[in-house]
Amino acid sequence: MKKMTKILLIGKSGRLDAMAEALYRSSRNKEIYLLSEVNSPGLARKARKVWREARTDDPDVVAGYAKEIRPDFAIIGPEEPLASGVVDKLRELGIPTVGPSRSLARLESSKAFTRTLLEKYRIDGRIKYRTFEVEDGLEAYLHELSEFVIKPDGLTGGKGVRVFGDHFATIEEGLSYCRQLLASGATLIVEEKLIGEEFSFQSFCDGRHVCDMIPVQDHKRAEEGDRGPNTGGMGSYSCEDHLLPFLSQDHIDEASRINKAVAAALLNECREEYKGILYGSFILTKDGLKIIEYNARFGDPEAMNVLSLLRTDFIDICEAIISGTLDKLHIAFDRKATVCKYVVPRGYPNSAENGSKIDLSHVTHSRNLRIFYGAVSGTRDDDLELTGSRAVAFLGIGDSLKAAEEIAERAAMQVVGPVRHRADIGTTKLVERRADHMKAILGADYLYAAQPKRAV
Amino acid sequence: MTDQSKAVCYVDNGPDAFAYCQIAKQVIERCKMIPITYANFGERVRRSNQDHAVRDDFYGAMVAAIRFSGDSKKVADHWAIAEFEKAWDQDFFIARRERLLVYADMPIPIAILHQHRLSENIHVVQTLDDFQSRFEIDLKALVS
Repeated sequence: MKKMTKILLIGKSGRLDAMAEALYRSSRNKEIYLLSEVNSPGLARKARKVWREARTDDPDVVAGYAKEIRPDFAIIGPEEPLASGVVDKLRELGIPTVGPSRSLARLESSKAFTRTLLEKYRIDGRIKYRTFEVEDGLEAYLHELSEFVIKPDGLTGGKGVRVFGDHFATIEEGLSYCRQLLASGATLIVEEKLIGEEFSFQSFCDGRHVCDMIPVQDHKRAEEGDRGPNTGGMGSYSCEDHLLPFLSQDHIDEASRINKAVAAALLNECREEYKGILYGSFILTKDGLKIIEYNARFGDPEAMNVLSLLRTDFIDICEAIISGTLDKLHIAFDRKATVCKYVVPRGYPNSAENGSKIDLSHVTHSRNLRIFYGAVSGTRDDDLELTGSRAVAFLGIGDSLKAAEEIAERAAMQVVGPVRHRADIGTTKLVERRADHMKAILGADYLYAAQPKRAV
Repeated sequence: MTDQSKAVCYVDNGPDAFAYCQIAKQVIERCKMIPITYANFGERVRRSNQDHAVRDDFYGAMVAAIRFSGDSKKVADHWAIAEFEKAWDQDFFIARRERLLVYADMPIPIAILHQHRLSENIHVVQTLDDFQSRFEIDLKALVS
C-alpha cells in the first residue's frame, strides 16, 4: 500500500476549492484537511474533514489544528495567514509548508519592501518613480517621463489630503502643480503613468527554481464594461495557446525572466528560500512589460484557470517546492482555453446581500464545467446561503475561448437567487476590445502577425 | 491610510481642473472632511495603472463630487462618465443620489450627461465662486 499523504489546506473562497480540487485529483493516496471560513458541498466532497474557522490568520489557532492533524505538509491559500506568520509557526512545529514565511511574504504585504527590492536588484519592468521634498531635479525628471502622475507621499500634514494630477498639457503645467504641493509642505511622488493591458503571471517557486504557469487576465471591476467599484475579481480567462490575445511569447518569456529575477533577489536579500507561489501582476505598455505589484499566493480567480488545466500531479509539485527539487519535475498544462465567471450577491461589493439563499441544482453539469464554491455555506446545492462575498465560480474549459465562455455563461445563468455575474468576461467582444486597445498602443507592427490563427 | 468614511472624493477633468480642485480641497477641509482630489483624470486613466486607486477612492468615499466642463470632447473624456451607464442598474452608491454631487456649466455638459442617463440633481455652476458657494452648501447638508 502506498504511503498516505496528509495535507492541511488553509484558506477561503473559490481559490481554496480550486486548490482542494487539484489535490483531490492527485493519483496519490491522500487525506485532505481544510481550515475554512465556510463549509460547502464542494469542500466537503474533497476533504476528509473541514473545520469552519474564521481565525486562519492567527498562527496559534492554526498551530492548534496542525498539532492535532500532524500533516505531512500544509498549503496556505490567502495572503492574511502569510502576512501574520502562520508559515513560520508551522515550520517551528516541523510542518513543511507551501507558502512563504512572514518575512518573504512582504513581497505582497509591503509595497515599500517590493519597490526597494526591485530597485536594488535593478529588476526589469520596475515602474519609474521618484520622491521630491524640494524642487531640485524635478523639471528634468518630468522631461524624462513621457506621462506621469503626481501625488503626495502618504498623508499630507496629517490631514489625509491626497491630490492627484494627471494629463498635464505641458511640463510647465505639471511643474506648477508640483510647486503648489511642495509649497504646502508635501513630499511628492512623481510616478510613471502606464497605459496598457494588465495580466497575471504566476510561478511555482522552491526558493531556487521557478516553474511558470500560464498567463491569465482577471477582471477586477464589478460591472460589465469594466465599470463600478473594484472587487477581488469577477472572473478571468486564459487561452488555449497559453498566451493572451494581446501577448506574444516574447512577452511571456520576459515575464518569466522577471519572476525568476525576483525569486533570486528574495533569496539574496532575505537569505531564505521562497517556497510558494510568485504571482506577478503585469501591464503591457508601449515601453514593454511593467510590474504593477507582486502577490505571495495564487490569484483568485486565476488559481481556478491554471489549476484546472494542470496535468502534473499537484501533490508532486507541492513536495518539489518543499524539497527544493522543482527543476526535476516537468510541469505541464492542458492546451485548452478557460473562462471563469464568479456569481456574486446583488450589491457586491458595497452592500452585498448576506444570508440569502441560492440554488445551484438547475446548473447543468458537464465534463468541461468546474464549479468552485466560495462565500456560500451549506451542504446541498439547492440550499446554499450567501455569506457576503463572491459566491460560486463557474469555470468553462474548451478548445477555444468562445467554447469555454459559453460553458461558464450557461452555468452562471442557471443559478437561482439574488445574485449576478459579469456576462462579458471571456466574450469575443471584450477580448477583441482588449487586443484592439493594445494594438492602438503598440502600433502597426503589433503582434497579431505572431498569432494569425487565434480565434476568440 | 485615509479614513474613507470621512473622505470626499472630487474628480474634475475640466480645462481649469487644478483651480477647481484647490477650491474643492478648501471646502472639504472646512467641512472637517478629508479631501481626495483628482485633476484632469480622463478616459485613458481607465486602462492605466492609476485606475484602481481612483476607483477605490471614488466608490469608497463618503461623498463623491464630480464636475464637468468644457467642450463636448472634454466632457465625454471625464473618467467618471462611463461609470453612470451601468450604475443605475446596480446598487452602487452613485445610483443613490444623496452621496453624489454633480456640477456642470451649461449647455454642452448637461446635454452629454443626459445622454448618460444622468438627468437629475445636476448643479449648474458658471464660475469658481459659484462652485465654491454651491459646493459648500451641498456638502454641509450632506455631512452635518
